Amino acid sequence: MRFYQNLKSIKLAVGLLVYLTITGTLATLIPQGLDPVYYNSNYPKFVATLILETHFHRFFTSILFLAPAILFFINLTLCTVDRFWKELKKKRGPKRFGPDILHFGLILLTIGAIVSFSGRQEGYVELAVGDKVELPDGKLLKLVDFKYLVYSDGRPQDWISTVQVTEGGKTVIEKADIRVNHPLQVGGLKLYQVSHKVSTELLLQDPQDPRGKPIHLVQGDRITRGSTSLFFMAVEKKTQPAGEVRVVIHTSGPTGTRVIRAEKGDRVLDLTVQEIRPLDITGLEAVKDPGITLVFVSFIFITLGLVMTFAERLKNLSKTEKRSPKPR
Amino acid sequence: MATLAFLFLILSAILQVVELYRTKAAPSPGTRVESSDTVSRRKPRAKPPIASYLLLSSGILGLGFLIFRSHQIRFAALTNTFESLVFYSAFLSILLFFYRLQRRIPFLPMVQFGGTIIAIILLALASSPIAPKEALPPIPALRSYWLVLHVAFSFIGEAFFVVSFVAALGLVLSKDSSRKEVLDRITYTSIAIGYPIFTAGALIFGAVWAEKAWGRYWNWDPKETWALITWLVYTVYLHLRLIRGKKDPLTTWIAIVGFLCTLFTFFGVNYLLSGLHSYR
Repeated sequence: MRFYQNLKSIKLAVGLLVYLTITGTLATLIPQGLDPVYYNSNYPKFVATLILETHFHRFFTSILFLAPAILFFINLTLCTVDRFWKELKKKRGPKRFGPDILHFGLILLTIGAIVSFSGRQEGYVELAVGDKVELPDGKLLKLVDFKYLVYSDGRPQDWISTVQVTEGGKTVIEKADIRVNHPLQVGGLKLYQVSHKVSTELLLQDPQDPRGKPIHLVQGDRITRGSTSLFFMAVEKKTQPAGEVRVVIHTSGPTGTRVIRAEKGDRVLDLTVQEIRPLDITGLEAVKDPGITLVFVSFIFITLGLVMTFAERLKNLSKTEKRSPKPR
Repeated sequence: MATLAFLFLILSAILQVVELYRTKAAPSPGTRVESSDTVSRRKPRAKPPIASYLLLSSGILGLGFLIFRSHQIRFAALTNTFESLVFYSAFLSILLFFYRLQRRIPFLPMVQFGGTIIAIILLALASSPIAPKEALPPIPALRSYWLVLHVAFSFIGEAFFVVSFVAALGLVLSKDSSRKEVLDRITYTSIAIGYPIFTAGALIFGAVWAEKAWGRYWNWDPKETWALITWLVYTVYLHLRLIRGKKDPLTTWIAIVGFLCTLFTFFGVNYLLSGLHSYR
């Protein structure tokens, strides 16, 4: 019984809050998640060993944080149930449920965070216009268009990826924009605009078939022509004339390996360089977070609890004021 | 406009010093003298002095400046350090005016004066080189009204924490028991009002914004962690009062530490630690 009383006591809650505050503060002062080499070379040996042995360099996933946090969760749950029950049974005076709703919101938030932590899935993909990628639920995502808007001073204004989603040949989403702060929900998946880069596209044309579709290669792509493989390695800036670029291609086949530097009009194997042009690549992140609904519901409870607690306190304050002596 | 707001604050502070000396020498009608300072428990019967109206004017000018700037950049001007500091100072000035006007929390000229000094420091920092002043439209990550709510509510909450900080400092320095009681009430009431607003702004709206922008409502980013630390400190304050009562000097020190945490969250993290919030 005494153990139970201690487990649900405010004293324990305060003690744990103080512990989490102090250790959390230290965790922001010690760089987190770096290689052990960093701590060994930047801190005295004793301190570095202490950080690494206690996993303080990954504090928020270490036992030092998780054990007290779990204990706090138990304390909060017991305290909330106990307090709510007492308020419910209260026969005299006004019933104050504000703190209970607030605490319940915090319990929900913790559960939501655990669900997020254990079930969250995320993946990153880079797409150029026309590229397709299969989503984890089998749907096909195609980048239809990409716009990079800038302010007059050159700073980024917006990145807009226009996508189409299909499933088994049927269109699920005809056209939708994904922008920073405006993710797109596709089933249980949310797609975020997270990055943008400019790559180089190389167009190679078969001179035997001048009207045929050119071969599109993005830096890092590899193709095979007969028994020779062609790898688009890099792009180099030419000094004369300034601003122009040439591509660096690595070929390997029966005759050996070669590194070729080519510009527009040059021959590479049996192909001609038709064009070298910049290519916008959008970076999209797909996130599936099963805990997010619970977390947002918890926010509603926390806000409601805060408002109720605040209103109850104000009411209390008015009563205290009425009881206090009037000024002379 | 911001310069005029600053001048009004300076003028208000000077007039408040005069008022503080005058009320010490001879209490004005309608105010109640408690030991060494002036305390009105219910209401200041006399109209608020000109110094308070200067505070209000400064606040209105500051907010007016931000509205004008919002029109310039075509987005709510609350997305960088300069704009945040102007908002913080403006809201604090208005709060100090209403603190004088209201009847629920006991009024102490010394608390209003301390708050004014902090409002001046905030505007001075806004005009310093640490806060770039160009009126530029925000980058994509900052173009969110969740961010505006996050920043606005955080600083409104923190403005109440300024009042609690000044009162807590007075509480530490004061030796008079009746004055201590009043200062403790101001400290507690300001935190009780500021805490829910700060929670909503710094933690809830911040988390919603982070989810919309980066797909994660919590990243353990230094700024987020420090906002949580600040919240934990004030949570400890509120709960410690339940255990140890209002006479405990430890709670007063926690109120002081809480405000110092808000300062570190705003300035320390921006300039000493790096993370997702390193916007200036």
